[in-house]
Amino acid sequence: MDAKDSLRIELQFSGGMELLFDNQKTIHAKVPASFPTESTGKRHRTAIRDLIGWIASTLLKERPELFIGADGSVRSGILVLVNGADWELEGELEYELEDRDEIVFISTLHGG
Amino acid sequence: MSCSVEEPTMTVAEKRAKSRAVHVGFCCKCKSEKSTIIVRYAEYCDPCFLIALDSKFRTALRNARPYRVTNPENVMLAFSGGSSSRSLIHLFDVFHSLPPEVATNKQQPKIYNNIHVCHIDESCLMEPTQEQERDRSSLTQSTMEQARSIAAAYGYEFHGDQLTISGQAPELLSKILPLSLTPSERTTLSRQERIEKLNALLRACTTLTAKETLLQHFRSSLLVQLTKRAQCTILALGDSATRVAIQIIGLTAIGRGYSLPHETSLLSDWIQDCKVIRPLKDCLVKELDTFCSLRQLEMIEKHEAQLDWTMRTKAEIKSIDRLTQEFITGLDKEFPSTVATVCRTAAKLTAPGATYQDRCPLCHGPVQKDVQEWKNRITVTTAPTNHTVDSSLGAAEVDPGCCNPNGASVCCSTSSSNNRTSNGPSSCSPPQNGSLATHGHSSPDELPFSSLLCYGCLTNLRDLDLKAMGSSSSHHADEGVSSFDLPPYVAETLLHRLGLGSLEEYQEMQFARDNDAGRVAQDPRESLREQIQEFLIESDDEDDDPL
Repeated sequence: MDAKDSLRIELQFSGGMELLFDNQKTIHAKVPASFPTESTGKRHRTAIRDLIGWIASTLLKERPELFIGADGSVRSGILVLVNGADWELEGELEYELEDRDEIVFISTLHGG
Repeated sequence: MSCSVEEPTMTVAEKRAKSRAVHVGFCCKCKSEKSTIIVRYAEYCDPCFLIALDSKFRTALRNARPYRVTNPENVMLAFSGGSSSRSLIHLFDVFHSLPPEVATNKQQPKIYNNIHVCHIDESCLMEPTQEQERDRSSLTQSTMEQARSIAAAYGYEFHGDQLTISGQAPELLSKILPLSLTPSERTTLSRQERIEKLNALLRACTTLTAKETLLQHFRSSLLVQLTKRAQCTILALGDSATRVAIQIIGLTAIGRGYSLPHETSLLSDWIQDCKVIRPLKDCLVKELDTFCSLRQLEMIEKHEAQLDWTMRTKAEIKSIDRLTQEFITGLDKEFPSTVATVCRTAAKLTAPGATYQDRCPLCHGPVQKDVQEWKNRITVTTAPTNHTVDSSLGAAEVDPGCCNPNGASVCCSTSSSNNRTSNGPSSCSPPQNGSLATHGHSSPDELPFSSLLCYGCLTNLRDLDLKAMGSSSSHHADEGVSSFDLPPYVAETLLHRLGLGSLEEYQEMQFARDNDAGRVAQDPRESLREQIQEFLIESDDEDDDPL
């Protein structure tokens, strides 16, 4: 894959999330820079929504339902940080990824 | 999860929050930095967030226990390894490390004397993964060392290994596993055997809910034990607001509403000589997770057996606790005030007027009077085995919903498994009692167990399948020898509530009673005479007359 066609994304998992990814805390992933839009078929820049689907289909080792929710978002109770900032501030699912972005997934699955 | 009706209060709160923020996208405190975290409509930058969280913690701590104290107390921090309890340690450390000018001021006494950290190692309950099976070296990864090193980094005294008998295996849970059969046997049980016993008990739970609840009782009882052992009078738990909200709903659902105030309040003084505080009760788990990641606090990943079970179970949702968790977090996503609303509402509950002396042997919670009777009245359960049980007792056949006449034993309406449960504590009592119990009747010779339980525990134990534990419960008379092992503290509490000092004392009492019973059996006419003594007309004189 050409460098222009893919984004270098650093994915981090903690709080139990890493158990879903074969105990890997950090994954340096090359993510396609664009995904086809479902309705039109035209390619758009990769958003977090696409990233989540991509992770679930390529990286996830087990139990996808513990990661991905019904609406294509992450399961409720998973905190997502985009470059250290809450993804809610960055537009949540619609945030368009940049090269060398750092995405952190923290599970709040645990108890006290 | 979405609600079709828009809550008007939410949008008002949202509007208010937005108008409060001078610039959207900037921190609501300093208003100059770009915001990086959003907590219930309020946006913060990293430094302001840390300050806000710290002051929130201090406020909660002050509310839990006034700063003005005459003699400082020792506090025990319960550390599971997750983000909440990890934050608790760090926040406590920040709070406790006073600036030098305050520390040297002798007029200002310290609020907390010594800070201890304890950890319960649950790794023995985790099933090894396939990879671990292959690589035997990583099979028994104990979380204890990790916890110890974290505590050591703060210079806090660490507890957890002192309870083991062998001294080598820092396996706390194993301490509570065996129910001491006899004092000699207490020491001979190996750690492996204890783990096996605990696993057997948990395997007998037919539902994940029962399993989690049981483990939670053991866990909290251990924490209290550890706290007392370390001469601490305060136990600080890392329950977050999210966790408390889940518990409020979850515990109510499993029938533990009566003890809810004790299990969810900021400060509970239910347990004798051990106050339980939850200083993080106002902090969302999201805040604590962010805190840990900002401070780069080291956590123990696989710290809870429950987490492991979740990973292993193939079904989507498995227990009431998990379901509630899904419900609360799902709702909270769209209505960020959900957690706070649930917590505020339940905080209005006041503790019941029960006394600590009458605590439930299993969960040490308050017990309502006549639980069994009440349960019988509201439950309509007819188990297929009822008839045999009833006929063997020769009573209650007419009304299957009524109570078993055998005083201490369990009612017949709550299925045969409960009947077995009532016989369970036969292993609370010494093995001789097991043989005594083969009288044919359910359990007059055993420690009364189910009659002393609280409603929640009674309900929970119905999900225990003792057949799975290999106990011979097929025949009623054999039940006395079933191996229903519970931690020793259950037996201790039972004896305490019966007003007995030790197991031996109980044995003696039983022995004496058995002797009586033996005499009765030898001469039934004599026993009948004893029973109707009061109604007998003294006829000594008349007896002589006809002769």
